[in-house]
Amino acid sequence: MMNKFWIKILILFLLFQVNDGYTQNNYLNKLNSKQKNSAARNVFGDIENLIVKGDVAGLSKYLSGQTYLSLSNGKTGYYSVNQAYYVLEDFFTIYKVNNFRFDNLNASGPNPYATGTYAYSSKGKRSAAQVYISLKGSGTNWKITQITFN
Amino acid sequence: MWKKSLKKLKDDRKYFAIVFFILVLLFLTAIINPLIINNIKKNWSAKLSEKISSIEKESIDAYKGKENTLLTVFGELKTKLHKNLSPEHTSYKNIVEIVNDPIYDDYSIEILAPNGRMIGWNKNIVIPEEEVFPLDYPLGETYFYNSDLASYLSIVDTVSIESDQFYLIFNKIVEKKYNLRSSYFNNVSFTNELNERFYTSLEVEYTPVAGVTRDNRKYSFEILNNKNHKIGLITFVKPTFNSNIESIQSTTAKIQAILIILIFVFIFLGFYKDYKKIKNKYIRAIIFIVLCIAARIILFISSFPTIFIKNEIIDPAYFSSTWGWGVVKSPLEFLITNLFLVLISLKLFSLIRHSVRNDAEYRKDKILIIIVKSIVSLALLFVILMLSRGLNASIKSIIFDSTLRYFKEPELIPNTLVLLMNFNILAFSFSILLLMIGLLIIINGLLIPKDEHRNKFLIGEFILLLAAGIFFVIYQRNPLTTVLINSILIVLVYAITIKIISDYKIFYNYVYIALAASIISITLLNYYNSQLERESLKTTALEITRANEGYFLYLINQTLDEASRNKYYKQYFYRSRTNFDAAAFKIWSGSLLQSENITSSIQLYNNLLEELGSFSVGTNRKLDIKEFDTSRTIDEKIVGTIPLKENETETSIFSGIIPIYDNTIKIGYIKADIEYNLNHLWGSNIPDFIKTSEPPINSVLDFKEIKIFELRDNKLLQAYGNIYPSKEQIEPIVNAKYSQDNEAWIKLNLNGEDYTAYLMKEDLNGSSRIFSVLYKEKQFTWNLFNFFKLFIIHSLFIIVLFILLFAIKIRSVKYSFRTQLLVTFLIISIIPIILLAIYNRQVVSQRSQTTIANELNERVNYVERHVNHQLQVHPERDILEAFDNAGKELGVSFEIFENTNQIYNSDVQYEKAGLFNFKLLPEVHYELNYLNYRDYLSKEKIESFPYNAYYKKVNFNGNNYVLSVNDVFNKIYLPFSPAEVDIFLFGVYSFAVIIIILLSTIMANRFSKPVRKLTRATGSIAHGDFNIQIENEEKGEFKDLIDSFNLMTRELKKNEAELAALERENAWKEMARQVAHEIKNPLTPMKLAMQQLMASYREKSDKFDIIFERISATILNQIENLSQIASEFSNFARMPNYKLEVVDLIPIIKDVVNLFTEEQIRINYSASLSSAKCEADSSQLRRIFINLLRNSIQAGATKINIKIYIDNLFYYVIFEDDGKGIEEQHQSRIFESNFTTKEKGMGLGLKLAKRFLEGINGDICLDKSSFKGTTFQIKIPVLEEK
Repeated sequence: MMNKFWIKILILFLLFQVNDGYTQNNYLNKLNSKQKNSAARNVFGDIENLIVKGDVAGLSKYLSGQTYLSLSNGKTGYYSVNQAYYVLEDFFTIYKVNNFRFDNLNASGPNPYATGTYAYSSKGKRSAAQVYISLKGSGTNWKITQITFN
Repeated sequence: MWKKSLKKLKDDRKYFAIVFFILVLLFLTAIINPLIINNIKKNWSAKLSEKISSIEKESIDAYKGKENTLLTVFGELKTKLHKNLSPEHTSYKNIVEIVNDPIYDDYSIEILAPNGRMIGWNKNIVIPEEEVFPLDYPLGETYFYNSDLASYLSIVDTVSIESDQFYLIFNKIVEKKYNLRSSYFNNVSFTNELNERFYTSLEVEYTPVAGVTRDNRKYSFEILNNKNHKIGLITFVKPTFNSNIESIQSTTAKIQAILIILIFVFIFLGFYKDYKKIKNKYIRAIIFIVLCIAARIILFISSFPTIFIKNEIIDPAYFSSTWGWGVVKSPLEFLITNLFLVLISLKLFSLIRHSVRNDAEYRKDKILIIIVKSIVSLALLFVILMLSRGLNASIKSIIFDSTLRYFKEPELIPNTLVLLMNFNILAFSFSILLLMIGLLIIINGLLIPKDEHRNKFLIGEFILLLAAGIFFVIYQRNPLTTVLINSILIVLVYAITIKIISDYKIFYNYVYIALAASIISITLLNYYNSQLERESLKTTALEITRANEGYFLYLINQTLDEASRNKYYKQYFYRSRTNFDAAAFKIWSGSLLQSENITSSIQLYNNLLEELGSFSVGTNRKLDIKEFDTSRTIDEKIVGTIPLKENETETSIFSGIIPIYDNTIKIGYIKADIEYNLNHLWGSNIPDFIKTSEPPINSVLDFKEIKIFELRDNKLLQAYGNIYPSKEQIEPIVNAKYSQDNEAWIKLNLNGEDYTAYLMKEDLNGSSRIFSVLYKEKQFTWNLFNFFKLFIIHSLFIIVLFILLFAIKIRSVKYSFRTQLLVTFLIISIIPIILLAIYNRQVVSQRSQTTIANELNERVNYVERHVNHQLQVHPERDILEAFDNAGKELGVSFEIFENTNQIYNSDVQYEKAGLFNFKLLPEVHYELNYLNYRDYLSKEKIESFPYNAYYKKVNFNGNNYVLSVNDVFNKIYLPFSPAEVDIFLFGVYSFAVIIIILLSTIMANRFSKPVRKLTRATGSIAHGDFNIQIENEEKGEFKDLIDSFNLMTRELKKNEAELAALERENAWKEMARQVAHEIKNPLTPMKLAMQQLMASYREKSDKFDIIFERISATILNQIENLSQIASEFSNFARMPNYKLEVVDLIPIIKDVVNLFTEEQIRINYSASLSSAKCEADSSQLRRIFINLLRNSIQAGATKINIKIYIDNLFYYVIFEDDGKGIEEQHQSRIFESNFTTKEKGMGLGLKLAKRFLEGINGDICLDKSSFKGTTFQIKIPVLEEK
């Protein structure tokens, strides 16, 4: 009886160790550059879809603790996730997306970035803004450090 | 049934009819909306024509409004000039005064003499005097004047004085042609005004030659001036069906939001009377809280009032939290949530205050009850600690989720938004503290006995609370605060709780809570601000890495693409008189280069690659066009990094050029450069007025104080700030222990100063790069400074609360001795403090001005000496060259004026771009040239950026000039800015005022206490209560006075007893005499009758029977008389002489309660009646009530509840106390005569009360009595209405 108990404890301990090791191995700085580029490309792909849908909740998952926003409605600066959520929500409400795609993507280096064109309509007027989004590795994920809509 | 329903509707239920009506309206808006849309769709063509006409009419009206204002002000100015410039009044001073009147600050005024020379002008010169003639438009006609950077609505006319005609030019800006992302930028744009108004794009052309466009997409119409001549054109994109729908839907949403709010309000009004009728205070409280929550939810769902507001208070950038699905997503939403939170907290606090007894009785409680009480107390303690955590989390969010920097606001009294957020902080903290105190009161009620052990229990409770607070912080995984701050919170909360428990009645308890809320919230704000500052080091490192090659190339690309697409920029290359420097500035101002505060420049070239003009900020580097391969033709955009010279490892340069085409013909080039150097971070080399006002890290830190080191392969590459560390000094950075994310925090001591450093390591193409961001650790005095900065604002709110409470209370309080003392203390102490503060402020302000003047004067002297020296050594040197040398060698920025015209400016690019005036300011001209002063310090503005300019008359080579130096381009660092000094001064003084208010209240209370006691006691005596004795804790005259009073009372009581005894004796004597007299009367006939009967019997009279009959009848009659006399005496003795009249019980009870306000007892009076009229003797009633209250106090009660209600034609007055109760064996005897358990009691009070009440058909009975208290019930018949 007692032995079984200790075996269970040991298995749990090993599981934690494995899990810990897995997490550590997944740190971006442990990946090779190809893997990192691929991960960054995937993140940009996801961000593109989220912007097309105007999905701020989805986008906020990628925001870092302090994200630099520079928006065409005059909002410029570093914002916390909470602030960025509502600042972006307001932006997407006023500048309703018609279409968005990244034209240029650079997934290499410590700060991958992508630029694109954001077509929107606001108060019945159609227009377009140039978008610049850059990422930075944080733990196991790429996080957005900058979003510029100009 | 219908009648019944209708009757109900006439009462409160009428509100439900309104609700029904609004519901119908709401329903209609939902139905009508699609119908309207359908209708518009069907008749779109007609609707479109209507829309176009409407836009045209409204736009013209908007223009005419501007024109009419201009003409009116112009007319007034002309009249004023005509009147004041008649020969006998003419003086230059008059002209200067009139045109520089602040009412004309928004206008540009120029006065030209008949010979065309400018003789008068105000600060804003628009049209250079040489460009006035020939006139563009006839005199008296309005027109648009286009300068390089703006368009003006202008008018030129003449003013005739005597025989001379002076020309008056009057302009008002209508459109700025550049745009700066800066808080100092005053944007003026008629185009934007129109675009804001309509759901379409409008464009205004300020030229009469603009051609009309009318096609399927666009529509234009002319702007006609006051003489019906075309001066401009407005073109707009015809509104689309979709934009129209959007507009309708937006309006409908607003209407629906209002309707929903109205429904809620009227439903509440409908149920209001029912709510008031609920007697159970707990149910009432629950309903109140539910209603508050419902109201908040409805306001949130309907986006009310956010939907109607368009300013910064709804901007989530200033504060937003995702908490509660967004009920605090902006400062305004936070305010609304806070107001409801305050209401709920006040309700709960009031409920607790009126419900909790503070007299736990362990000796009489069973063990199980004690255990339950302890468990409940522990649970409540946990809730208190969680509330403290909630407070911490919220304040942290206020700091971290906001771009507002509470401790860096430059103004003493900040803008509305910061005031609003400070109010929010105070209100939220107040609510949380109120709840914490309420819960502590409950714990006190459960655990703290009211006996000789009370103090020991209180100390034990405090230690337990403090220990729990400490453990709560220590054992949290992510503690939000420190042990010290949490302990301060607990001490404050506990101290106020004890204060409140000792005296519930003090209205100003709320002020104490607000004060504690302010102290704790500011302490937390300061603490989290320091955390944010630390966190900002990380953000700074991010900011440095954000500025990377990819981003700079994107900025160049963006700037060039935008510029090449802009049709106005293309026109620059056609025009003959284009100011290409101004054009370059406009391109720069609208680009990301400006908003990113980057050292950058824009150059314009013709198609032969010859430079036409340029604008640069932060650099004088002229990047040659040859950096690009000009051997091949540049047919498309080229962007790239420019290779640097070997010694320039610290700087990176990015550049791009784009050809501009008109159709296929190349007409010129636009080039953009960026120069990046760590030392120029956040535009430290760019003048403040032209850059975004805050650095991108939101000015958390004073970026002048930040030090940054960049290490490449463990060697220092470059440093930002005034420290260049040695190899030894960077060793801790290299050897730091880096985390998985390649970051580390260390403490560094550099040159004897302690720094906190954030380190970030990166792999960069095989080499390692470390950014180290350092910030000097703050001293305690800074925390004190920060505290006062916010406390000054909070104290304003607290003073308003104090005044409000005072105003509310003043209605019920007479102008008492205490109030007089308080007011006197306040006046005597506050006035000198205010005067001292004003005086100190003036002194500091004067010193700051003097320092600025001295600093600028010093620079002027350097330049003057330098130029003179050059001219002495090199007499042949051109004076402009000498100026240039002086500027470059001294690093001083200055201007030189000859007469009134500028001849040299060391920052020529701003002048060339048209940002600064080329003419000497009129008041400077007047002071130096007319009044012959040597120098003059002027306060000026560029956009809304204020600055100081120092002018001095100088002489070079025998010619007079005016040399000017300002603090826009020559930064002057004052040890403390005037605003900072204001904050410190007024912070300290406001703190002093608060302390004075508190001390004055305490002292006024203390000094007036014996007087108040005596006043109340005298009142009691006046109402017949001679048992009163005042506890004497005083010294000196007051002690003697109270002793004398007590002696007097005792003597009065003794005299009263003696008098009563004498009266009784006299009464008995009188009664005996009367009784004897009355008895004698029947006795005499009885005696005579008996004697007659006896004689008749002895004489054996034959009429004996008849006599016997008669005598018996007489005796019986007399006996009957005696019986009647006895009854009358008995009646007389039973029924004293009461003065029965119609009285109202409510004021009588209130009067009596007021007599006990100084006693150590809490009397809660509650009544559901506004009046309670009955027939009784008011003095008897008062005596009964006083007697009952006095009995309760003597029974050791701390709290007495008095209730009055009506039931079945009787008023019931309930006296419920928490005294020690009446022992069971005594309960049946309390209404007996001469029964008392008191040492000095007579045992008559309750007997007399019962006799009086029975006399008026009422009653008094003992409802219940136990060791927990006693309840008496008094029953008085309701006055019958005749």
